[in-house]
Parts: sequence; C-alpha cells; structure tokens
Amino acid sequence: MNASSSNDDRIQRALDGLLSPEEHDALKADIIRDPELRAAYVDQAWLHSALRADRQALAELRNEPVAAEEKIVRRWPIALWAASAAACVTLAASVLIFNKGTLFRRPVATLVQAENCRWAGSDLPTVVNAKLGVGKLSLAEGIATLKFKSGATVTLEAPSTLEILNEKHCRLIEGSLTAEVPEPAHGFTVDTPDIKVVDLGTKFGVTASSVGNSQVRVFKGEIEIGGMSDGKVKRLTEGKGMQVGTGATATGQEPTRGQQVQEADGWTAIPTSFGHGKDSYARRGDSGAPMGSQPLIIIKHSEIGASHHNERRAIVTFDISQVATRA
Amino acid sequence: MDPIPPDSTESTEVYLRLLAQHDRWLATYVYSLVASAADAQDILQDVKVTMWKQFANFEPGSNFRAWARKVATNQILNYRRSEKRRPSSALDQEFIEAIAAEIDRRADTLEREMDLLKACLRRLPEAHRNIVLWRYYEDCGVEEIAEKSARSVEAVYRLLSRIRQALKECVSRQQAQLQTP
Repeated sequence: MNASSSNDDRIQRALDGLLSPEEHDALKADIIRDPELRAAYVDQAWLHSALRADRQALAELRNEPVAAEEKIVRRWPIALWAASAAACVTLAASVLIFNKGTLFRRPVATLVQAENCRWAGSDLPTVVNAKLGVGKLSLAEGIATLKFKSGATVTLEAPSTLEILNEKHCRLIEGSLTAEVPEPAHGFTVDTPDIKVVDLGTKFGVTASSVGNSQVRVFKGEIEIGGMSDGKVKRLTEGKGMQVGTGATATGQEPTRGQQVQEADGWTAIPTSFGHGKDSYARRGDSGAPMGSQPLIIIKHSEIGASHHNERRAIVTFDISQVATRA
Repeated sequence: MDPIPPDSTESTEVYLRLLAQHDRWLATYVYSLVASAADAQDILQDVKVTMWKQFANFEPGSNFRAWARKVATNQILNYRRSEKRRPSSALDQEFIEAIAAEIDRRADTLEREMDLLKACLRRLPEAHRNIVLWRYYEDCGVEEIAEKSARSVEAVYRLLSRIRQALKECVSRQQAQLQTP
C-alpha cells in the first residue's frame, strides 16, 4: 500500500469513527503538518458532512422511486377544500426554527407516518417514528401524520406549519390539517391565527393562512369555536363548516384539485390540475435533478445577481378551453 | 419559546432570508468540524441564535457566509473548551483552526460541490443508495449497518469508503465540466 492510499484509508476510517483515539490524534497532527493531507481530508470530510447536513436531499432520494409513480391518493376529504399544494405553484417561505433543545424535550407526539414528505428546516426530527417535543414542524411537501400522546391523530398536509404546544394543544400557523380525536383526548384544541377550535368528540379539518382567514369543517361529531374577534363561542355539528377571516386579503376558497370554481363575483378559479393544465419547475445548474412540482420556491425578491444558486423557473399551464365563456 | 427578536421584523426577515440561503452551507461547515451529530446540532442552534442576537453588528451587503463562519468557528472552539468529559487538547484546537482555514480557502468550490452532490447521489445504484441512506439519513454507525446488511464491519467500511470515493469523483467530474463550458 503506498503512502497516499494509506492516508486515504486513515481519513475514511476517521470519518466512520473507526480509528482509535491514538490513531486519530496522529492523523490530526499529520494533517496540521502536511498541507496536501489537509486538502485531501477536507475533500472527503466536506462530502461526508454535506451528506450528514443535507437531510432534504436524502429524503428526496429515499422517496424517489415513489415519486416516479402516481401521486399519493388522498384518503381524507381534506382535498375537497384544502390548499391544492401540488397543483398550484405555491411560493412557500421556508420557516426556520431554532427553538433550542426542541429535540430533547419531553415527547408529546410521535410522527407515525410521512408520505412523500419534504420538510422545510431540518432541526427537528422528521423521520418516521420520531418522538416530537414542544416545537414547530414545517412541512414543505407531502402528508404527515402525528399521533399525540393524548390519543389524538393529526394529519398535516403541505405546505403547513404546525406548532406543538402540549399533548392536547397545537397551533396551526399556516396550512391544513385534519384531526381525529378519540374520547380520552376530548378537549383537544387547535389554534389558528383567527380562531380556537376545541374538539367535543370528533373528526374535523382546519385550514389557516398566516395572513388570516381560517376555515374549519366538522366531518363527524361536534366542535366548539372560540377565540374569535367578537368574543363569541360557536358550536358546529357534523357536516357543518365555517370560515373566519381577519386577513386583509380575502383569498376565498382554494380551488379543488382538478375542478374549476365559479366565484360569486364573476371570476372563475382554475387550478393547474384542471383539464390539461400542468406545473413544474426547473433549476439551472441542477441538470441531474428532477424537474418536478415541488412547491418550495423560496426566492421572491433578491438583490443577488442571477447565478445557478437562485435561478429557477416555474412553468404553469392552465387549461381554459373548458371554461364557459359569457357572450 | 422563540427568542425575542432583537430588532424590527424587517431585520428579522433579512436575517432569515440570508440564513435560508446559507443554511445548508453552515450545517455542512459545522458538521465538518464536529464529529458528534448531537454536538453539531446543539452548536448549530447556538450559532443561529447568536447570529440573530448579533445581527445588528452584521454589515448589510458584506459577506454573510464569512460572518457566519466566524461565529460558528468561535462557537465550536468555545464548545470544545467547555466540554467536561473530554476537554479538548491544544491539538484539537489547532486541528479545528487548520481545517477551518482550509475550508475558508476553498469556500466557493466547496459550496458548488454541495449542489453537484445531489445529482451524483441519484446516479448511485440502489444497493449503494440504501447504504448511504442508512449511514446518513438514519444516522446508523458502521456496526449497525453491518448488522442490518449481514456484512462484516470491515466490509461495510470498505463499501462506504468506495461509495464516498465514487461520489467524490462524480462531483469532481461535474466541477470540471462546469469550468470548461
């Protein structure tokens, strides 16, 4: 074995934690002394660290064979009125989370299922079966199911940001969720920027937008809505829904996947999933990467000149051939 | 639970935007200087909080990456010094500083490598891909992978080392292609 290949071997073993403390110290001393060895070490250590740090790329890699197949089937009625995440090219700001020590707090929920999930920010455990403490989860793509210790099951649909407060209380900062609450967990509460939804034995869905406008619908049972600006408390029963808006912009109902929506004031809303519509994005300098319908496009305004780091192009096609025209 | 923003929401927004741009780079930087994943995560969170607190000192328009690197290096050195169980030696300090300087020298190239790595990962054969996912996504040690895949530790190590070399070669090839359009 020549010197350079044995040095490569030492570096590789150091990265996998297979050197004894003495061997490791000897390698460190050699690296300090020898610029060539230092360069070789940084080459390998950087690659190794990029793999450790870029959980998102690995999550995508893991989901890739699935991604080539048909998109996930939504089992929840949520899709009837939730944000059509995959259909619209949504500009979702990546929410950065640095609640110190979140990982190590007492777990109050478990991430039981994650379908085609991509998470924004990687400081929280986002692998299946991860125990979640108090803190924020930001889902950029996919559907994730959390089981709270109280027994309540919450299914989160991207793009969403959820703050877990305790085993019977969470805050939907933005996005959509459905909750199924068995008897011991009655009283399970979901806050949105506009309202407080208290479960009274149910299955219900909530959407919230960060600029105000929350919608809630009861699939089964009964819920209580509080926290409204007028101070009133309202009960909603099975099949009922309501919309509360404090936001400056009335965005109205998001269009359902694959359907056009006639708005009251003469507008028609169509998602890209309607008719022959489609959406996609491409990123320059990322030629081997898939061009997909991932909705995470962070850059809205930038003072940085165009480079392959921030140059992306979204392509959206709307099928308006089937939209009724008025004479 | 969240730290109180030191300044207006506008500066918080500027900070978050810059951090989002450099987040992956910063994480890679810390990981390359800290061997334990748990320590690296702690340090990373401290670095982000410290940077936020000190964001008023950051000169708008100057190099955020360089500033972040400085804060991170200090944090790593402080952290290692304050460790009670295995206090860091002079050798450790010197090693961290030498590696930090080397990364510094090649910061642009290394940043490009991170982007190229994604495409190279996709070219891995499925069996290799699974090893990578075990090691880096599920954070398994070599021994654990050996058990899972019914191989010897030495065999897993050799395989991992070969995969990393292959990825490295793929990244270098793509770098070369970028430079000679």
